[in-house]
Amino acid sequence: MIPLTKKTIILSSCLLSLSALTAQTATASSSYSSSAEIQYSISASNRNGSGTLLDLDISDFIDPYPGTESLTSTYNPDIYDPYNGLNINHTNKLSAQDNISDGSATSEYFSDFQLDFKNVSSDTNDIFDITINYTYTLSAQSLGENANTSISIEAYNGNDDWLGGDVLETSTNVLPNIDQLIFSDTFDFTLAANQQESIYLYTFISGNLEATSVAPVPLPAAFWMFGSALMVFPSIRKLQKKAA
Amino acid sequence: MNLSKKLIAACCLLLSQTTFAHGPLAVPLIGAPTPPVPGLLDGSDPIVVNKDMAIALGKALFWDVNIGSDGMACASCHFHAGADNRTKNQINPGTLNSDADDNFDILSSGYGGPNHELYAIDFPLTQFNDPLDKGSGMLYTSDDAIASSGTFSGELTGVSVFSGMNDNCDRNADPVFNVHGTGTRRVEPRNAPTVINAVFNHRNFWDGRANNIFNGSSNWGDRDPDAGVWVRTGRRKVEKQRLHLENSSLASQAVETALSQLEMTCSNRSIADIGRKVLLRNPLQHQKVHYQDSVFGPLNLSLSTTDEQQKGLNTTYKRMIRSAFARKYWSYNRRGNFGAPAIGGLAYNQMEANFPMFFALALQLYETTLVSDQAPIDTAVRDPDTYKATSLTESEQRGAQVFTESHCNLCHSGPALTAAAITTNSALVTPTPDAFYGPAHSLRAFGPEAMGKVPVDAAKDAGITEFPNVVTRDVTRNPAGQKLMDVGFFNTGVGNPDKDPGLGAVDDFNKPLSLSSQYVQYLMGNYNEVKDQAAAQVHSCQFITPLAWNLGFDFSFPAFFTLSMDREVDGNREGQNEIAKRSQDCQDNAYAWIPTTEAAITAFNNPNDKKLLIASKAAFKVPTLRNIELTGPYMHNGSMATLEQVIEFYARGGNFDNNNTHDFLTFTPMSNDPQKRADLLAFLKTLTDDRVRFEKAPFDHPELIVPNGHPGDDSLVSGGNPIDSALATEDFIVVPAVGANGIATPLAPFANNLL
Repeated sequence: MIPLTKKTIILSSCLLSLSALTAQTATASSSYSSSAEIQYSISASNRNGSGTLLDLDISDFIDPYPGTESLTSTYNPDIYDPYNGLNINHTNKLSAQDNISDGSATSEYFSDFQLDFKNVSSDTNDIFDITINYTYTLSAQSLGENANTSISIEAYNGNDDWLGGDVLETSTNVLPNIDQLIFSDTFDFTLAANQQESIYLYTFISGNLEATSVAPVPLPAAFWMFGSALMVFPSIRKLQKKAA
Repeated sequence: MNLSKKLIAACCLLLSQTTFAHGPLAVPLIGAPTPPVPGLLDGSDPIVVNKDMAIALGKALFWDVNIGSDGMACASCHFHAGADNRTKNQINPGTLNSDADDNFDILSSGYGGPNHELYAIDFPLTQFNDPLDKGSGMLYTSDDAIASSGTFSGELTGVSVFSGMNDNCDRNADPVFNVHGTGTRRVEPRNAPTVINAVFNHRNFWDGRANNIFNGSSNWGDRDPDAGVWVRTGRRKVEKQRLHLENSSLASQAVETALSQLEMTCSNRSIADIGRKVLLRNPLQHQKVHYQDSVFGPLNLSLSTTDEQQKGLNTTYKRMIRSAFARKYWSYNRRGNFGAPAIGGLAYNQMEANFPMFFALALQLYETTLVSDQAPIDTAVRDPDTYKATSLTESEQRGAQVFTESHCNLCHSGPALTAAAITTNSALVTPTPDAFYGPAHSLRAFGPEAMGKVPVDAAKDAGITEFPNVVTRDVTRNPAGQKLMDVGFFNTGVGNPDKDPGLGAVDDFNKPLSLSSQYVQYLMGNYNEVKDQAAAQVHSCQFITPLAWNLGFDFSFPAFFTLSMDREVDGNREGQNEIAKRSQDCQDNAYAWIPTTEAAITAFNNPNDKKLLIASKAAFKVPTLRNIELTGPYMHNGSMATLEQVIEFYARGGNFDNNNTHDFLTFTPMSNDPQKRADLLAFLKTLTDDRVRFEKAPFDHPELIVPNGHPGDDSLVSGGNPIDSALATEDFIVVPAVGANGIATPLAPFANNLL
């Protein structure tokens, strides 16, 4: 089975957007924009020195779809390179975004990508060693009054074993509100005659927004100041009670 | 034991044990093991994968006012030495009583009810002409409870996931908690106990309904057939699974209180809804966090600097959960499996649906750090033979002796000073190679003499043995007799036993709270009625007074199963291995018997039979005495304001004689001796850890704004609260953020705040 190799995370953060932070008090809108891009290539070899790779069947399938949508959210699953051969780079990308000026909005989008491998050779000497080189880039941006977006990517094999994954989240209430995560690794596995394997790469993007139609009044430093009083002189209160 | 001695013993077990000082000493908490929680942090598949982050999550959740519907945090009732020292709007009229009472009493000051500010003369709530003599006649009593003001409550209609402390609820003036029709905050029905050292309690709440087993979603442990957590089992598979975490009563407590409509929440609100409210927010969003916070600082979560205290943590609750908990509990992104809010809206996702578990276990891990083991009683030098503390003052040492000779130690036993600390007490008396506890200069080995020299200071006299029994049998008074009791829960006659039923109440499934009741079902062979497995694993030979007894001859006693035809060897139903286990570390090997199922059924069905009686009515959990100087008011109903009043209570033998009162509530050597009482008071003050007194780590905390009554008094308030105009305006206590180095001015006892 595919071993879970040690992660080597390459994290690159964009500079925080000061204008986005100050925009909380200057504008009344909230938005998010997120994407998950997977680049991969497949290489293979046959341990049978006199054999070929013709009996290695590889096919792919992708299914992007919305889960929850708001009235204004959209997603773009259009970047998709169908599998068309070994040692060729392929790119799949899911992106989603939303922007509101009032109210609240929740949106969630999925992209289920699947690679199927099958050794259809009748020669038991044909054993294929397969390597998938992949890089995923998660990009998340939360802007405006109140925005939060999460991107997750995870990989499973045909046995439903979890192979690894990542999550990137940005919020307007946590710095940085714009961030990116890039990760590269390989999957390695072997198929003997008549064996098959599937690799599932699931990506998920969610966004939560809230905005008010007028510029929000910042909370007072002490929210309790509305019509109430701090208890600061208990001794005076005590004397007054006794006098009564 | 020869025949004549057995006869005498059988006849005379009614005699109280109060004829001489004996039983476990007050021992250090240093090195006393907290009860283990298998599977939480250890094993091949732990629930928590980052303990430090889980503790930080728990600390944030504990202090965060966003958790309640209108500004209540867990800490709002547990901020002063882990308890509550507020004195205004703190009265419950007795809503928990068997005959639920919505009428407030006039207290001794001449005032009372909602928004009353307590006077010193209001206490105690039950008063005698001579406070040291119950026979002098009762002057006054009230069934009101001095507790903690909580929420205005209401009916949830919606909430923001980003901002705004208060939930949107339909709110009106409460029919009970109001001043002339203007709503005041509701008050819970029992005194908030301290959260410090609560980790040692086998069960929590005064009535034990916070089950030792945490099931993932409710406080009922294995009693709840619908409880569980959602576990991802594959890329597209998620299923609800039972959870069974031992020694997790703090988690059980958390999920119950968060849903209390007296303490924290509007109705129609689940803990998943609390998750939906807070997951995307900064923890402690509205509250300043000290830059030297002992938990948040090392994780770089605080935004504060030496120059400026900032509000909130630099993360979201969602991120903290992902970091702290195994991914199979939060990574399933599809909705539709987990139910939806009662008020409508999007179906829950897995993280929201499992928020009860995240909430509860994080709180438990944080509260597990709140152990106060640096009090004078902990650091005192001890005699290596007797293990008595020798470096305390003379008065304190005399007080320790009074503590023993007055039998306080038989209920307030072990390092946590409560028999309710079943697992820890049992662990200490179990011989364990290379296991020691106590201060470095006065270490003590685990084993039968861990709490004092045998036989005089034997822990066994308090029912503490190597096996952590949850049920015992002991002596009651009024009239004298023997009854089964839940270990750590006793009736001491504080309040009218026909009012608050305490452990004598039933659970949400209409079954008795008491584990003794389940034990009786076990004895009768009704195994399906035993939901808490600890009740089926009781070792009868460790009972303080026997249930079934092999006298060596057949003679019928009304209080014991003594006839050979009526009894079988304890463990016989489970097999030889269990027989061997249940005959170890016995009070007396002749006690290692139980009634046959037939004998038990016969006794149970006979209203005149005394053998299976249970003393659960108006029994309450024995609280820890640690930091007792600071955690008033006292007792389940908060009816005593000072330790002096507590000592007087015990000196006179309690308030309300009833047939479930423990035998130890009787005349004691301190009853007529003011010097002994003064010495006892001095001893009780040795139980205060200065780190608690000065809020040093781990007792430091974020800022907290605590509701503290309403401007005016019990006859006048003003409407127009920003939350809802039908509600009274409010006063607040500002508890500043405190860092690891604590505060300069020490915490004061509750009574200092009284008028």
